[in-house]
Amino acid sequence: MAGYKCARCKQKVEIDLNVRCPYCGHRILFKERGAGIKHLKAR
Amino acid sequence: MEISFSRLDEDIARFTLKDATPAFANTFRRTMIGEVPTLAIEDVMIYDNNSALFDEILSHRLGLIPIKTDLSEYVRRSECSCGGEGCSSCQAIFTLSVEGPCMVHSGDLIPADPKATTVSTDIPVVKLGKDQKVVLEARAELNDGSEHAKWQSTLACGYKAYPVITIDDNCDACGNCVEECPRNVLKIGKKSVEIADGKLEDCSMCRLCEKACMASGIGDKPAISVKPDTERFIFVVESDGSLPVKDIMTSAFGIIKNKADSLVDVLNEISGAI
Amino acid sequence: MEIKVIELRDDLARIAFIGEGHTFMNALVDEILRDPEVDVANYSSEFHFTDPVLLVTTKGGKKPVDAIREAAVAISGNCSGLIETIEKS
Repeated sequence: MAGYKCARCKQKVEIDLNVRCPYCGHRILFKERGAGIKHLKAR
Repeated sequence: MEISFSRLDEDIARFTLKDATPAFANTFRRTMIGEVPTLAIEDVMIYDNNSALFDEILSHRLGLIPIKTDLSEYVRRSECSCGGEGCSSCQAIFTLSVEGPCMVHSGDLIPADPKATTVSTDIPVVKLGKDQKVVLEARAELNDGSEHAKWQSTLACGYKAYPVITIDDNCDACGNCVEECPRNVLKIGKKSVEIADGKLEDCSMCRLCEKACMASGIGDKPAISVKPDTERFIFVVESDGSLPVKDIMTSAFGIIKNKADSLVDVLNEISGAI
Repeated sequence: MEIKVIELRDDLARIAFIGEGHTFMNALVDEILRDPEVDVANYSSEFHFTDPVLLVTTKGGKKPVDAIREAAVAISGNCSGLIETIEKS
């Protein structure tokens, strides 16, 4: 599962049922970039 | 067939191809555009990118950057002795690692092979804000324009038939055609209209001069006529900088020649079998 | 170059050119037609991704394969002459 980050308190957040930060209640989350290398074709 | 250059620079050439057929001229044009191989970025490994552009857009932009190509050093990946796995003779590797705020330029791509650099160092790729970062590795390979336009070696590449302007004796030098000509090919001479010095090749064969002549009430036939010469062609070839124009032209003729030669070989085998 | 002979008679040849397009075929057909003993020289491909099929018929007992070969030799000769002049300039 991709990780998320709260837009207000910058804490790492997991989404289970609600899209809501469990620490501050903010409802805007940013999806974090995965750790892997992304391989793309330049087309 | 003959070629005479009126201009030959590193990245632009203007020449006339004489005693050719329209079919051959077109084959030459199509080969220069679509079959002369160059390097272009094909694989991109993105380690980090939190810029405003998506990874896909960023890698597409990288693909379109022209790269200086030494055709004697690189071979196509499909024809390489490594079997298509990728090695130093079929791939040119670049690394890019930039942190904002700044503009990422094509010059930020650091080549592993110092000969295979980007043609221009100041093509903008993406603008980075504060704390934004792009880290990636790009692999360029040899291919041709018929596969994807990023491998095209030419920018403007085309031809037109050589204009033949004939001015009859019944021209009264009224000058209507001189005024009408959008490219100032004509001038008024002593008895009749003449072609201005060195301007003939500028003629676009729009035939406005013929119309102007008819409008001046000269009769059923205009005194000036413009016709294309179907055996002479004016070419303009412009390179994107990856290869000098001269190399583009010679390798295009080489490609056509190779095709013709291998066809002869195959036909010889067939007629030997019968 | 890879070719596939579809039909071959004394005065007719039908040959598919694998992987070729208009770029080479048009010049080849044009060159074949300069031969006065050639009756028909024409190529077509059913779809733009299929291989073009060249049809050559001759009159006067000339073998169509010879007509194709002579045209290919002529194209090759033209190209080598032009390469030479470019390299000199």
